[in-house]
Amino acid sequence: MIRPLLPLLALIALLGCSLPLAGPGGGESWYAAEIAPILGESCVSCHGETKAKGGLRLHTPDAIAAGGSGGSIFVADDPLSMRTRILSPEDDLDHMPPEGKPQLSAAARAALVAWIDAGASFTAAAPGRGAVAQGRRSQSKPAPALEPEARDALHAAHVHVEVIDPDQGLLYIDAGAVAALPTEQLIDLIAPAAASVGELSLRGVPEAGRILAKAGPWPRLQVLDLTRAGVDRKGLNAAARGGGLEELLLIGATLDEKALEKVCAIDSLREVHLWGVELPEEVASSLAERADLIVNRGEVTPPPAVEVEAEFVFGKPPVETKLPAVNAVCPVSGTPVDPAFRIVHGDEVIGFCCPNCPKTFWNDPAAHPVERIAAE
Amino acid sequence: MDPIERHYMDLTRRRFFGRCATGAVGALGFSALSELLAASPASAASSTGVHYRPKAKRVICMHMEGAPSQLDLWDYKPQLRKRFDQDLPDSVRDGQRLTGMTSGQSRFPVAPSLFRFSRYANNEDGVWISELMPHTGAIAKDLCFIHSMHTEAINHEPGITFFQTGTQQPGRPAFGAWASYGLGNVNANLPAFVVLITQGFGNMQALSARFWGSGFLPSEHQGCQLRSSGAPVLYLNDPPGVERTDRRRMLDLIGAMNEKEMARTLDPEVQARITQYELAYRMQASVPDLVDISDEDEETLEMYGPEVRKPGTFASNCLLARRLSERGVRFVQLYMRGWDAHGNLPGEIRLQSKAVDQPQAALVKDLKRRGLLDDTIVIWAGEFGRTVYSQGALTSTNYGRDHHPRCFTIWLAGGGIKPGVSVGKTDDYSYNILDNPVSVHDLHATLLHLLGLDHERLTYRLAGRDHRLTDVFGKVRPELIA
Repeated sequence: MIRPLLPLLALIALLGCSLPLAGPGGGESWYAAEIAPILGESCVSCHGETKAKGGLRLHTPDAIAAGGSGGSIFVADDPLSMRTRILSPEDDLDHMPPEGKPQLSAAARAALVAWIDAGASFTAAAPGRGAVAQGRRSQSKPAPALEPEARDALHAAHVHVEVIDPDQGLLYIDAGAVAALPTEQLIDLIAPAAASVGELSLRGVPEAGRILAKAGPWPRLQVLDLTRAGVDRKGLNAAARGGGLEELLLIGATLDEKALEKVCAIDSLREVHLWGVELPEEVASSLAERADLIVNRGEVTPPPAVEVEAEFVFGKPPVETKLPAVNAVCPVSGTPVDPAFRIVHGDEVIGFCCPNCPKTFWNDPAAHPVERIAAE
Repeated sequence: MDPIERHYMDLTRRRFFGRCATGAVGALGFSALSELLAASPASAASSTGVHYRPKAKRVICMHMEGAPSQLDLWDYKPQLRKRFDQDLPDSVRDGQRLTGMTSGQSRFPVAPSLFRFSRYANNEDGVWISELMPHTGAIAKDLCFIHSMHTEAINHEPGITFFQTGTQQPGRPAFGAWASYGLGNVNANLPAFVVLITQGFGNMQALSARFWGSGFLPSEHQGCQLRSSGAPVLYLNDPPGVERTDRRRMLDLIGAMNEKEMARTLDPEVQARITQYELAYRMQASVPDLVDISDEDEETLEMYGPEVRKPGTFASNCLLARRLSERGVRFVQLYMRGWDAHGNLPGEIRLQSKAVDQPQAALVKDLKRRGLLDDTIVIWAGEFGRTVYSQGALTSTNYGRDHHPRCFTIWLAGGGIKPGVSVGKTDDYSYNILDNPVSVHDLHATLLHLLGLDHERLTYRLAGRDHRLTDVFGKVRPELIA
């Protein structure tokens, strides 16, 4: 039995690494192209034609589908499923490959998980890169690691630095809390990390443009926050040169027309936030021309409701008695009957003029003779 | 972390501090201590770091303390109007336990909502929202409604504890503390986890500081409450006559003494204390700037509504939440008290909703136009729902509702959450979940996932066990993710 797990998990696994995926539409299945070689490399020496530890063989599709002595290896949430075993910590007793044996590479593990999550099919083609790599571009080559001295210097100056993508080694650096530091000092602090920076915030930094120009190059920069910062064309040129800049925040930033023209010319850009920035008409129209670009200028126009519920009366619905009263005159007061006030007495429906009369009637029905309407 | 490994690390640190303390006490000048700390690998970042690329960097959690009625705000049941005052069928309640407040009632009369609903466009075929929340309705395109939340607790204290810490028993770290532990602090001048409280108009229940405690995590991860009157942070201001330089010298000396104590006892709480003193020192400068809203433009203030200038109101706290998020604070926890409407629900919920509707919508809009909504998760939730049957007398103008853990509605926005959708369905009485139940553990797992943290790998070892926010439960829910 194969119970596909959440497709989302597949997405995470694929996003997190660079997979040598088979091209979509190619003749070879995902299993043949990628999965079988991994199993061959890391698993079949113990689970193959010659050895079958735990009754499990992984050298052919049929053998894999047959599972081991404990049944299928693809049962979702089973602690002994293949997925759980390869993802568990290496010192876990159920971990595969066993502790001490050559381990799966991160990419191989991710590929196996992705394949299992997609249904562990032996015939389906591998998902194309486009379907998987949503949004952020994945770099093929991991970023260089940050030198400990450089990291410590950033920490000491309270510039936030964080690994934001463990597989790619991408960093997120945020100098927003220390925007008042001298420009030269910020350049010296950030420059050693620039090659690894994926996201950078220079929120409120007066000479952010100069820092971008001097501390680069920024080969992996994807998201740049220049909210309320001082920006110039040179700086934007430097930031965009890596070719991966996708999101740019310029809320309330100080920048001239030349810099704005540069914003329009950044081809890789997918989202730009420009609330609080005055845009010359030409810039606005050239931004509007780019269909692939989300331009946020901060318009807030709340739409009205599409539909409003009809008015209703809250409370007990009126009692619908189909039987009319047998009398036209109230037996207590002698005034005409209001159809809203009726009671069942004996086998008749008797009407009254108001809600008070029925009580008087009940106290002594004989004292209030009912004048019945003559039957037709 | 493995205790043995930690012991080794502390030993190294002890040597490090030992050397500094003997050679450098006299020379410790301005911020020298923090430089030493930053150079020490153990204290530079006490966070675990992300497991994969996050979609969100921070969270604003609006907790509606007391549990708002899903029936009167979000869960539209027009067919109930015809069942006014009818008895709730036993087959619907199905023997479910009740609180002591209604278990003695002779009957359970169905109370439909008194309020009219309107349909607002979203990215599906629209969502019905009560007349009490018009501003929130207008931003429906950005919101993800979960109509099928459920919880284990039936009373407030365990309910909020469960929602905030993943377990009903007090003493575990709050979600915000886990976020701080996992992600660390972006702005070294402010705590990573900040709590803001608004007093309500309706029936209020106790709100304990343990809801934002750090439990067994290092205490630097606990929530810091900003107060609305007097000093925003208690005991942060220097007493009259104490200059900032005096404070600095005092902290340097205490720091040196604490390092000795740390070297002697290896107690991690001493380390946390050193960190907290340094943070408090920096907060003396950063907090006044944070709470001074004179740099906000008129149009923004207007958007949050007329109460925005009054400290402590929900409007004022929503604006502060935005200012905190903008400064990089990881987790802002807003509490709005007073939703516990056992009686006089229509009157109370009118006032409560009026206080939150415009500010909460403004917060989402404000984050959006500043480009912050992309990586900020906004949560609006109570600790459970309320019953369809009336507690106490049901009249044509009034009713009350008891606690109901089996289903309730929350909404999420931003930070990788799928916008403009409704998830899950309840039955005709908004009593049981028909479709797609989402547990509190699932919600926690999903939110951690969006923050780049695997809820199964974000652990803290205590008493021989790796503890998690989601205990041994929780599944990431793809239907909530964009």
